[in-house]
Amino acid sequence: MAESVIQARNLRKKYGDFQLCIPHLEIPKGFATALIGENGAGKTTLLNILSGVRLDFEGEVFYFGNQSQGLDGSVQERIGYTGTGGYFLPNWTVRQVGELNEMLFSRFHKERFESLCEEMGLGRSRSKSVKKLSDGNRVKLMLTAVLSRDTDLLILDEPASPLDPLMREQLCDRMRDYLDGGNGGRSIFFSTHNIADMENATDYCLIMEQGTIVEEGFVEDLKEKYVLVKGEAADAAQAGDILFSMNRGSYGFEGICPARDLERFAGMDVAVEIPTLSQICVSVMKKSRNSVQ
Amino acid sequence: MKFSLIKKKIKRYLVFTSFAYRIGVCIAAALLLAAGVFAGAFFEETGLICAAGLLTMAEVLSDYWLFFGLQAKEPQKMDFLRTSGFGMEVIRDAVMMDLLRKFLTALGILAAAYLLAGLSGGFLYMALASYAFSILGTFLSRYGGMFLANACIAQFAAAIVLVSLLCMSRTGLSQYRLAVSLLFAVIGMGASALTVAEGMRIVKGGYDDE
Repeated sequence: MAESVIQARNLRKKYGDFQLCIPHLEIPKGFATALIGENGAGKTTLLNILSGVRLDFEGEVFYFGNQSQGLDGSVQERIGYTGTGGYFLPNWTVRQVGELNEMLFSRFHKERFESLCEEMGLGRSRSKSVKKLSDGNRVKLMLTAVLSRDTDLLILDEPASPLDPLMREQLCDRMRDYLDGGNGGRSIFFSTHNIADMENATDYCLIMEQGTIVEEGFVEDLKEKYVLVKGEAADAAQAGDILFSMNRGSYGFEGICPARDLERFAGMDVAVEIPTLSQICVSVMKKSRNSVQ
Repeated sequence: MKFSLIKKKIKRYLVFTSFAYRIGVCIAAALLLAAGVFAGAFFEETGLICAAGLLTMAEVLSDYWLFFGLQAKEPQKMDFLRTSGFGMEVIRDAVMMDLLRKFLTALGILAAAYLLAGLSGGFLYMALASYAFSILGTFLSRYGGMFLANACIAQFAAAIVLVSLLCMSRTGLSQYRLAVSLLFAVIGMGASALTVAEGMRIVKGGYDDE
């Protein structure tokens, strides 16, 4: 793997019945890494740990390629984090969020914040309190705040979920611009449910299921590792044993399996296509869940 | 050096206050001062006691627009502050400066009203009573999530101030004014310490499972 921006070892965190357990984690430097998993898989817990918002976990986390660099104020200065839910106090106004950022982060640029507010459509909402903003505008405000700082890593928890399709596209563009502006020195780690919409912005992918990473790799590599197989309904039962998961219809079936298993379809009338990232993720998650059950 | 430190702390407090809040506090302070002078001139000590009660209510109510719900069990709302190495320091300074502002407001308004109304007999015990119960009220209301609860607590705190000061004034307890002032001061300091400690405990608690 390329140089890593975050390295973690033996991460463990327990909440009641749920346990986060990640023996080894590396986030590549210079890329946008998507963390994909179903609700309750542990995505937010992992992002909170890596961003320093939660400190009650076991294991080691190192930042920016330095094996002795744990999380401290200087590291937090280089990380921009956006969360979900009540990230800001509800009574804060958009203007106050800017003032607080200026106070909390030495590499915050007020002028950039002002112009990004305009670009994101928050220009007229400066006196509005956070609680009066729509969910989408709250995400825009969080993004505006982190993009107004000089950071080397963005950790974004579900940035796309409350956004409309147009804004999601803008988000992908901004993420690309952020990476391009760093000449390989900047990285993004984000969680998402909107795999299809965010595929354009994803270079590397981590698939999480029940508190652990079940698959990872660069998108291009994953698309070579897995194939989408389509076939006749008559072969569905036989193919079902090979495929991770299968969708059946009157036309026949389709499903994902590792490319190395293609020879097992010998004798069946099947067509092979390159799967989308969304199809790969859903199949891998289903496969992992089934193997646990 | 010390001046720049105080300036930094004031700035950290002011950043939590919106422009509307600042204007509102200034207007409320002017109105309370006018009410205090007017009531003091006509009803003497009783009038100033009423002003102290009003001041208590105004302080608890105004907290709704500042740190309301800070101690409620939703620590993730401070995630933003936890993303910076200075976050905890900033919130602690802001909460402490707010307490100092409340004390100076009570002292300033009642002292000015006392002097302008030409009263005698002292005002410090009233300022301490107002401060103590406004902080206790603020402490309790920060657990809440509704303005109505905040308003109830504000009225209750004002009623305690009114009753305790009127009792003192009307029952001959005024000879123990120094002792009662000390009691109010102790209550005020205890409530202040509790407010800072609990606020920080909740905000820091977000780092863990608390």
